[in-house]
Amino acid sequence: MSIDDQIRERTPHVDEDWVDELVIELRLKGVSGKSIGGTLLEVEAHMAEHGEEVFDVFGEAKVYAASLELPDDQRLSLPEVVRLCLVTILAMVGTTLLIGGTAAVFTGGVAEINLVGLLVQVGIVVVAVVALAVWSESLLRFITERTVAAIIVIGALFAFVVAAASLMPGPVAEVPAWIGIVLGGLLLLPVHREHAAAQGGESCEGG
Amino acid sequence: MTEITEWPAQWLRGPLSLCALRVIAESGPVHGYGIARALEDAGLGSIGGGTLYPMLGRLERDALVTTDWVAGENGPAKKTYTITSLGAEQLEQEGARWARFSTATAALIEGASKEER
Repeated sequence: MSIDDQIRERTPHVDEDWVDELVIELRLKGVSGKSIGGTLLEVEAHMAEHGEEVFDVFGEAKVYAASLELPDDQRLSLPEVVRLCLVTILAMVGTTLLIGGTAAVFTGGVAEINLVGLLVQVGIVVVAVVALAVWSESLLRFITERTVAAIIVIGALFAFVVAAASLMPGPVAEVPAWIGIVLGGLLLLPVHREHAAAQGGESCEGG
Repeated sequence: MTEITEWPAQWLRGPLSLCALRVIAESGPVHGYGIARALEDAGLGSIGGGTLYPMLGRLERDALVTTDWVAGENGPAKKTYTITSLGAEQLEQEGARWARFSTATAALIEGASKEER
């Protein structure tokens, strides 16, 4: 049974659209699934006895979600943001070296790394990571409410990041193919460990 | 039977949390709808969920009440509220202050009304 079906089953006395809007609003605010579940159950218990329209009793879902002032459980702390930035930098540099080194093995040359392009790439992605951590609600709201505009912005940013790797003028580092592969692989190891740890954490939370 | 009256929201804003604390103190553990019914029976009018639950949430965050989930007999689980010692202390102190305030305002307003007549 999907989560949507479970929510419908547990809130039979509350209008579906109102519930959907409330869940989206609380999610955008970073409220934990446990708190959202508790909020829905309390509304359901009230409406089961009250017997009127939820809109008349609780008002607009968006306003109600804001009035609850529930804590943002998904907000990252400063050390977590720094850690995420470091992992992102490692991932980008490691991937660039690994791809460059692998390509060089087949071409029989050396991996050419555009240093300015790589620096610009890393800078843009780190800014994006920090922005998502600090203004997560505003950015997620922009993505959900202005999806087309968000796709255009994200697409343009992605295209610029990809283009920066080869088009930015500046010094090019020549790295022997096997060094690129080994160094890239080593840099990606902590990224893999971080990813595995995050997956483990989510499993524990889910279970 | 209590007369059902709808009071201006700004009138309710001041004493509502104290009234809810009193209901919880006397009837707790009590669930949200039970508190709304008790407030209505006391003459405060119908308190919407959009007003009631955010206020109960603030009481919980301020450690004036504790909450617990109780399985419903035939319906959904209910979140119940119980007053804490800090809540009881606040109710006693702020309740006494509110009583003095409401007596003073009532005396002033009624006096002004008599003069107008």
